[in-house]
Amino acid sequence: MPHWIAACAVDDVDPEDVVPFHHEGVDYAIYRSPDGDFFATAGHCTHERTLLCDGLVMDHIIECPKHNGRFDYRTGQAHGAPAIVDLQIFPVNVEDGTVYLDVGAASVG
Amino acid sequence: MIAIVGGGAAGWSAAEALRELGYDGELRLFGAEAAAPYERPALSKQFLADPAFEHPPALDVRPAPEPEVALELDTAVVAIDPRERTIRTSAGRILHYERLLLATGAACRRLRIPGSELAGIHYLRDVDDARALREELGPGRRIAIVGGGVIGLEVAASALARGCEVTVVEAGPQVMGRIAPLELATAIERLHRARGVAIRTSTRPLGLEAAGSRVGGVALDDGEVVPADAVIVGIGVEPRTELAVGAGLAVGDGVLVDERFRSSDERIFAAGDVACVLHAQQRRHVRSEQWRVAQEQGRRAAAAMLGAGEPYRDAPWMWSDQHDAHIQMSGFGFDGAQLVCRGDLAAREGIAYLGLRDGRLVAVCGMSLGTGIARTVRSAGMLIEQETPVDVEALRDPGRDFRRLARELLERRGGA
Repeated sequence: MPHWIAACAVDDVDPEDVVPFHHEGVDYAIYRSPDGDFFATAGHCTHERTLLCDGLVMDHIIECPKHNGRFDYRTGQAHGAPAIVDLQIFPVNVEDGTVYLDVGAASVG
Repeated sequence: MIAIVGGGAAGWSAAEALRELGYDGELRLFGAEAAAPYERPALSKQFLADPAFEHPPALDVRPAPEPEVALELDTAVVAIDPRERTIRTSAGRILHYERLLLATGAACRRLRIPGSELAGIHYLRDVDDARALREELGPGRRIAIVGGGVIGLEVAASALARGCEVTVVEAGPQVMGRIAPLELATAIERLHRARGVAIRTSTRPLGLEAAGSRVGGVALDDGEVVPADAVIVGIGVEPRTELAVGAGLAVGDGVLVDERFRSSDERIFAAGDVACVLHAQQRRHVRSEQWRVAQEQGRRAAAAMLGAGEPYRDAPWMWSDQHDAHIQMSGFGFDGAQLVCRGDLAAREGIAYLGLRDGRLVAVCGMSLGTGIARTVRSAGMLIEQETPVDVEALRDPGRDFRRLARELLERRGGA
């Protein structure tokens, strides 16, 4: 079931950047693309559970801060070792300057 | 057939990339180890620190490349005949190749002092080495490490986590001398000492002393003996060039290849630790020993083998985990560079040293508790690759976010 929650303000995220978001024990990462679109993924890298929010966003790629595993944050697709398992992604909606996140599909952990 | 000789990071990523790029012909990867390709970086870190860690993560766990890559494990290539375009394997088979990638990596440099053949002396390169070394670690065990480079210091941290008493002996005046400027090396030493590792710099081992049939201590050039139940040697690696030499290829510090990883034989390429690559930006041959570099080179070499690909001009990048600290480096070294320091270890983004030459960044190395250093090092790495002019005063300004500054500089460069 969809479960929309307010994650951050639009202005909290630079274009081509990422911020962390934590909700009910689950970490998420919220991205703003160079074109200004918002996306969200699970907060941890699928390789060694490093928080992705210290990583670098380049175009549509988030690069894990620890070992440079790369994912497309729009689709969650892993781009090769050490990023082998895809990232979970979450629907995002922007209304009146606020970024909403549908955490309905979040698995606890 | 495309033959990939070597099952490490470069070899496996080349195999994957060949399939991704549409090569659907016969593809064989020859690995001298019995294990399928795996992540070597874990061997000095979690694998040693945690006895429950069964096996380093496998590399070939994604949906397998199609068509299948034939993995010939436990199979070394013992000779290459470039004229006949054949290889001979350790099993005595002769196979014909169209293109060949040398990804044989590097081997540990051996200690050559009296006592070097005693039992209890370890080197660390593959998973078998790591298993044997792991058996030596445990509470109260006295571990001496010869060499204060990345491997020595990671093993020191892992051994300490297992309750060992650890002493690192480094011949040079500082630890991590090839990677970190003195100022950062001092901070790294301080971290190790604070966590409980003894570090002796500017000290050479003269011999290894026996205790019964095993090693019992390291005799130093200042007359002292460091007692040790086991000794781990991490004094660097040598590229495995024997095959290339035997095939008559041009070899220097590694197999000499051009900007597209092609050796002096047009059908033979090399990537990873064994390759000494003509770097398009540095305009000199550069040999790297970093895992991510090996992967990237493997991919690039794959493209080149199919007649595509760009000249290689990447800035090397690496990480190291030591205790609770995360260290990253990028670029081409601090020799003769002007140093700028940003941040401090107590801050989330950690402490970074930037090296400048002629108004451009050439090197970056930093450390953080957690992964906060990553943005600075990766942003700096892009400035290094793009040879972007930088303003020293802006770099020094603690009020400026480095990521934003780097982006502005890169965009200005791109727009110019």
